[in-house]
Amino acid sequence: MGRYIAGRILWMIPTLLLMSLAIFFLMHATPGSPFQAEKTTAGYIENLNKQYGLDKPLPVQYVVWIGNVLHGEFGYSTFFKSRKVQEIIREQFPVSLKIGFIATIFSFVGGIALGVLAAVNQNGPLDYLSTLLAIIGASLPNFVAAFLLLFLTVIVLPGTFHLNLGFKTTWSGTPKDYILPVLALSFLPLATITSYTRATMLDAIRSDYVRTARAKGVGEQRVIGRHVLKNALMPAITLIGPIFAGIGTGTFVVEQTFGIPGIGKYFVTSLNNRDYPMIMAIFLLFGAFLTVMTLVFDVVYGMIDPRVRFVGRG
Amino acid sequence: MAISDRSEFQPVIPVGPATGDTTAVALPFIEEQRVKQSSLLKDAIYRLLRNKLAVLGLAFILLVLFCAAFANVIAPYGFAEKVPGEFYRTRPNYWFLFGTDNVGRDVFTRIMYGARTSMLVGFGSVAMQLVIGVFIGSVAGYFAGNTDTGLMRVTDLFNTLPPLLIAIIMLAAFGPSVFNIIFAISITSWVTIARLTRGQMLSLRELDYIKASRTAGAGGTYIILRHLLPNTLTPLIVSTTFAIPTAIFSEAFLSFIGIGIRPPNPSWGDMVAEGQQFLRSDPHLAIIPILCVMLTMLAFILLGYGLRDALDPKGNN
Repeated sequence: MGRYIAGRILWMIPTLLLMSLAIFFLMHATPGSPFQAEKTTAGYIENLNKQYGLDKPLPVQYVVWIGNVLHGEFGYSTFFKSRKVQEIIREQFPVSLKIGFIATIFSFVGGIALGVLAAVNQNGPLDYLSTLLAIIGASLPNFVAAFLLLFLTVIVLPGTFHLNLGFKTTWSGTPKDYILPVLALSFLPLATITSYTRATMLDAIRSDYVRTARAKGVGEQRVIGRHVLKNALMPAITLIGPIFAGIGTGTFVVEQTFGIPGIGKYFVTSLNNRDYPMIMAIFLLFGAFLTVMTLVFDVVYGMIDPRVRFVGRG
Repeated sequence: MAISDRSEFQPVIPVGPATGDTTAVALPFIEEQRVKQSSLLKDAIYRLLRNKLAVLGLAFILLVLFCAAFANVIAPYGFAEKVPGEFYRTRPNYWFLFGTDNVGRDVFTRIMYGARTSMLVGFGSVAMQLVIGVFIGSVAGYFAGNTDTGLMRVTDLFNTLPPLLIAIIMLAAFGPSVFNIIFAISITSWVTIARLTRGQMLSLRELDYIKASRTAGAGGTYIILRHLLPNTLTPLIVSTTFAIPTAIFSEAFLSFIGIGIRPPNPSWGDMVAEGQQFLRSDPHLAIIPILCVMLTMLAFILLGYGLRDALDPKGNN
């Protein structure tokens, strides 16, 4: 167990290095320069390049950059010139993180509840209802759901959510403001988790140990509560990583739709303006966060489910 | 159960009894097997056609495919062409079925051409995922041991990458084009198919008919292509059907944030992005392409569920 965790942590180092290399070189292979919009003389651009260290050879730039990153220094944004990347991120990221976090929890709680209800009432009306929800939800990914929600609320419940179709939204950060973005982000993951939970539940219900429990005369509630749920819900833990990745990327666009002051606004602006330090920082933080999450949940899963072999995965 | 599987829909399909024909068995038996196989297929088609929602999905997909294939014939204008006269942001009417946009282009025309982009990306990226995923999965599953461990390490590495973010950087670096979008989407998504193929192969390779084939002198490639792959087909078909809507959405997403298909080239995602600024005065400009994305995804998902039930040999309906 200890060896497994140590191995996984060590394995994270090449993963993160590879990720940073890919991000750095792909970003610098991008046609266009961060200063392409500056309407000035060539000397000015050269000076800018020099100031940001963009005149050095790429490998040198990479080493300097990664060294700084390890010290928590992401440099100045090339677009918002007077601001440091880590300042912008520190200010904006918590809002995005909060929305993403609520959406993740909401889709897990909701998805598991619906999946369990569906499986326990297999082929009953509740089953059809949640299957229907799962199918519709699966075709409502983030920005699609966001627009439809925005449109419906403005038409059906005008004035309820401080929203209007002109995007003059005032974000006040009250709990009510979180409802629509969280819903928009949750539809697809909720659907995924519902159908996944339903499938694992049905598998467990049909298994031999459940038949044994029933044969022993264990009550239905106890069978479901003690025997089925425990085994059926564990695999859903492994979905947390990918689902959080999906929701995280989703926040970038959903924030735009609902006028939320998160990192999403900066993400798109930075991308279009080739703001290298900013984009690399967002990507790297997000990627590292996901890698760590995946590791944590794999380990947690392994601790809960002793059947997972720790040596030589697969 | 693979740890941290990316697969979004997790089609859980039990492997049916191995039905591959064997070279070492007497002739009548082979014929019997063939008859049985074709009836299995017939059963599956019959079951699929009885599922009304799946048929509805299939019909819608065929409609979209038709529009995509004959966009240049159906569409009254060119996708970047301004309609003659002063028609800017007109509401849907008899002459312009879906209205016109802010630069006076016919929205119906752009939806038709957008369907072409969507379908190209949807089917193209799934084809690429199948090629990479089936290759890596078969090699890992068939040869097992160290080859398997090594290849699965690589697969795990790709599994930790956030797919849409990777697609964004790749497109930023290589520039927007339909092929680059297909590539950028497939580069992380093949993992699901590789794992599926590998899992099936690992369980199949120990079966007697494979051993018999190996004893008879068949090589690895032959066994994989002739015996193993046909038996992995069912879960692959289902998984592929569910991968198409994901790819379609990814393209729409990338184009929506302005890094995918660039205007004036037609893409539903880009139409949403362009239409969103007129959401108050002319909501149809954003809502129509959004409904297109949603309904197309819905159609594929309905078909996917139908196929999963129809192809499941233990299906009880």
